[in-house]
Amino acid sequence: MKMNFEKTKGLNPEPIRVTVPASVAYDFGKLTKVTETVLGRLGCPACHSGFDIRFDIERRFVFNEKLEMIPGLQGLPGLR
Amino acid sequence: MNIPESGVGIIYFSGFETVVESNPELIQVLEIEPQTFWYRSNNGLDSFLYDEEQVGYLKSLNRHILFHGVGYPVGGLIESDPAHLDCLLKMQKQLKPICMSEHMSFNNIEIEGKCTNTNFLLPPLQTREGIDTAVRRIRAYKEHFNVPFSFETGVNYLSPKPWELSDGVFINAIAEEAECNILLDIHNIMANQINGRQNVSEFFKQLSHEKITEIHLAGGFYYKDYYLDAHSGVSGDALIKNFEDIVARLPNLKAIVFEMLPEYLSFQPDGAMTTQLEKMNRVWDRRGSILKRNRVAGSVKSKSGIPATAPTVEEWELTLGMLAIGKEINSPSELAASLQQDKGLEVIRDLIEKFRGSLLVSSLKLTTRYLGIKYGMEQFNELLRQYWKSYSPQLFASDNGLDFGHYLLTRKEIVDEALKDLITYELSSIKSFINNEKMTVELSYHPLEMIKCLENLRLFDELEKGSYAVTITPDLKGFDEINTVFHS
Repeated sequence: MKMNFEKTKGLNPEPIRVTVPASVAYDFGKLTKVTETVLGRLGCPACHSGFDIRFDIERRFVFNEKLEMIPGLQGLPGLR
Repeated sequence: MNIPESGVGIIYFSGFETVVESNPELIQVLEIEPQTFWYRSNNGLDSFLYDEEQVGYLKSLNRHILFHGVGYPVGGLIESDPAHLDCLLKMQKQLKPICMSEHMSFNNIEIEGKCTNTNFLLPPLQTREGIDTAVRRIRAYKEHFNVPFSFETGVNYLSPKPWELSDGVFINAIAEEAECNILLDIHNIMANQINGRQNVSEFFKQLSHEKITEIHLAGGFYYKDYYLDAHSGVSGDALIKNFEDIVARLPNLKAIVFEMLPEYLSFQPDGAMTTQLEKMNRVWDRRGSILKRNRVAGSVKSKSGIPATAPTVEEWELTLGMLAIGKEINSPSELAASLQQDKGLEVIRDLIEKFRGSLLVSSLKLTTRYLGIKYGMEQFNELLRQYWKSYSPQLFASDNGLDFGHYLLTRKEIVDEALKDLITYELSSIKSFINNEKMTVELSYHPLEMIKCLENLRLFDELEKGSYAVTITPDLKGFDEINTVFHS
């Protein structure tokens, strides 16, 4: 993943030019372990009949100050 | 059209490569949900592209492929948008599936003249009119494909209604009249039994066994006293027992497929998937060993025995669909009152809320985490509920993210300057990703620094403000390295 940072000239104040791949925004949050499937789902039809755990994982993650992924997930529906 | 005997397999999602590659003898067939490999095309038309890399990978595995459609079920009145067919057929040409299936459900309703997606596969009306509707839809849909077609027996969290045909009679009549096969999802029918619907063995007796060409297995868990078809883990002992009894009686079975969502894969104990596949292979070897002809005529006479109080398909779909997605019903009816008293409806609503919330925390990961940290998850939840009251679900995950981002920008009392930057950045990232084009936005914070803060559950108080012109490039594949280059 390449990111380029370039100070531009001739503008006042000079903005810093930053080039970021779109994937950076979705690569975030690796600790939750479920992000690897996100890109594959962004464009696909959103349809379900079961229990989607991703919202509860995020909720538990935000509550868990120690950032302990596995202990933080214990007790979530469907996870033993 | 004959289907080759294929054996045992799994539904393949991106992320299941290790499972496939470490169980080469136990996985003889791969089923895919083709639409999970799609992206919107940026040609200005409402069309789609498939992920060629994934298709190439699937071809390289040299296994029989089955297609199991998602997003375009065949149980409802409203026809699916035909725009998806082109991409589906192109993918079929590449992967040459041996058969194709869809869900016996509906997921579209028409509200004030606008087709609205429910984001959930809802159960069809089980009456004579419901059979006619499904038969019409299947006959029209299967004409597009040159492979045998089947429909999946669905999960239904609602209690049985007095005017309903039994689950088995309904399913069998559709299969017979539409001249197609049945994909028997044993986990679904077991969930239905546990939740108060028809008993599994009674259901099975009402089906013509030679119509069943494929079986699905899965695992689930209890939620609010309902057993959910959650696809959350391996199958329990009770399900495996039903599975053994059923498979021994099937003369025309071609494939057995295990389903699990990728979100749950990381949490399975070591060896759990292999054990599941070993059990399935043992049972596959005994398929059809107790053959007893069970051909059930699909005769359900017009209006016979169905009380006059039964709703029409149109009334059923609109009422259930509106209630499921939390829309107000302007003219209360007997049906609406009955559904509102059904605890299954509450479960469906919860599942839809969790799914829609999951779509948002996945497609607007940064924005939603900022909201969670700043306002707490309970207030964030409340914000989502307010949003859902005024915005309808969208079929595509990315569209749900875009809608929520735009909605937030109208809530000026919630959105501070930093959050506004974040939303702008993230909406542009989605657009860049989906449309495969460069986007440039002006921000007061460096995007990488914002991301670092949120990963550590911090807001941006310590960040130095600046002036950044951020160009977002549609780099889809470069996940492996971050190479930062400063130019003076």
